[in-house]
Amino acid sequence: MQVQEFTNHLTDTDIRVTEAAGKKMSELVQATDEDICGIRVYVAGGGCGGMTYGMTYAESETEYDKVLEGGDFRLYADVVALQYLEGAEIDYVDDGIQATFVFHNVFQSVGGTGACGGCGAAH
Amino acid sequence: MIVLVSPASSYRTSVYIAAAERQSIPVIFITDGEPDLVRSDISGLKVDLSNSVTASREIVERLNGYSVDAVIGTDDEVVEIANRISGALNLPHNPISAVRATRSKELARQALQHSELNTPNFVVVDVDSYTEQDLDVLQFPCVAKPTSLSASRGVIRADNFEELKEALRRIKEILEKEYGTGQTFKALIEDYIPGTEHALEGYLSLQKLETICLFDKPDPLEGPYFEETYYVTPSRLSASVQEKIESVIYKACSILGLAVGPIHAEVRVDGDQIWVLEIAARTIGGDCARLFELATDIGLEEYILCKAAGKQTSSIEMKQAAGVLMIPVPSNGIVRRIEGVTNAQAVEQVLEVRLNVREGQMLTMWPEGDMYPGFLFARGGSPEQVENALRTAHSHLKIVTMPIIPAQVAPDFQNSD
Repeated sequence: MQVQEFTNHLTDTDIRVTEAAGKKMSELVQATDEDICGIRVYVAGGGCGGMTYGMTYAESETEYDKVLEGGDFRLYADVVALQYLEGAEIDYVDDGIQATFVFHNVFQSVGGTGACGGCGAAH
Repeated sequence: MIVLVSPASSYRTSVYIAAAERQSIPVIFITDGEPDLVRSDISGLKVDLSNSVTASREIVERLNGYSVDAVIGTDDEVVEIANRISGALNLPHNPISAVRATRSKELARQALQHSELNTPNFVVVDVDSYTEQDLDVLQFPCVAKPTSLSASRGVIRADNFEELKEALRRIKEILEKEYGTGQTFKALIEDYIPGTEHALEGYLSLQKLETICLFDKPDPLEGPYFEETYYVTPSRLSASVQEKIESVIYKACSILGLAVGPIHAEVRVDGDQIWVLEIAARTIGGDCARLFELATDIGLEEYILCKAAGKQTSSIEMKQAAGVLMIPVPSNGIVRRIEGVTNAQAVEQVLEVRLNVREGQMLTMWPEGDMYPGFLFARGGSPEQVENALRTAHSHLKIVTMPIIPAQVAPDFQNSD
């Protein structure tokens, strides 16, 4: 019988972080005075506008977290967020007007657009 | 019997029901919520309240056989239904046009525009298709606001055209987040009115306005955003200015067509000039209504129910000063912890530190936000004492948040079909 090994570590096939995003995450981790252990990706909401994807600092690792080791930073996502993030790529874009992380392919794992088609509203 | 119309999402329902019980006034409670969310000992109907015409028709049919003294809408979104029911039952009510004007900044401004009252110059524009010429009627500074949102959400001051463009961009973003993209959104832009801001709770009946309570807002509300902070009563304005405020608000109600029921009005006082900012056909919202009870010993909802039921009430007597601070959002982020609550609570004259957020909740600053982290209540011998107590208590509070890192989703899915 082959025993499957469970791990709380993520790889590039789970979530890929581009070089620009990794560099920015390292900067953010080093820049804060707060007692933190990394960056947390979260997914919230739902409803008409679809899911909201966001990032904040992680204070501590929980038993529900999986971790992507990024060298100078650690990226945390809990199992609920991972359902919506598997296969996604996180990039960082600074076009001089707006500087932001950008999530690509976030609907790869769940399909669709993340928005509700029930009321016919365009999102 | 009083009919209470209340949306399922209302946080006014329980206070009205408790008030009715204290005053032994029978009520029928009408909501669009699930029946099991309504207490079993309260008479009630579940009705779809999304369409005011069909909802009021259904309610009137189902009330057949009941003797109704008055109909009260607890929140903005149901005041039209309450008025339609009152009209159908031949009870005193306001014209629908008046009620609608209280819910639309554009309609209210239009109604007051050519009256004798001070009304700021204003223009209504589509947030993404306007020209500089559209704004010729305005002078800077001005204030831009969505025509449809409440709680000061999306209200932004602009001191020049560039700031105004940025304000309209943010308003569009707020509205898209609220209602979805692909729609045309309107914003009202009007002259900024300097001066102090005040709020009046009143009750209209028999062609007069009874002032229930006048609140001062002692913090300067000069923008660029306009979230509420302190409300203190009784007002420290001179008796003559207070009378003038009452007179101006009554005239504004008459112009709008409001004749019966509770009102909540907001004004600015600039020297001897009174400017009406808005009038709602309901009581003050949320926890602020509690101030009235702290100052008078009778709840605002109790008083309104008694008036509506024709029950004798003694005239309002301000026994003490009372105040509330709507605790400001210190920064965008996720709440980590709130420090200093015990010290804030220990400040003399502070009655309660009521926190509405917990660890892990998201806080959003104005103009995008619309939720206060909590409230501080105080009561004392004078408005000055109350204000000082609230300021001291607030200085003890520290809301520690974890910042939100800007992130967005790329529209990859558009290419995936």
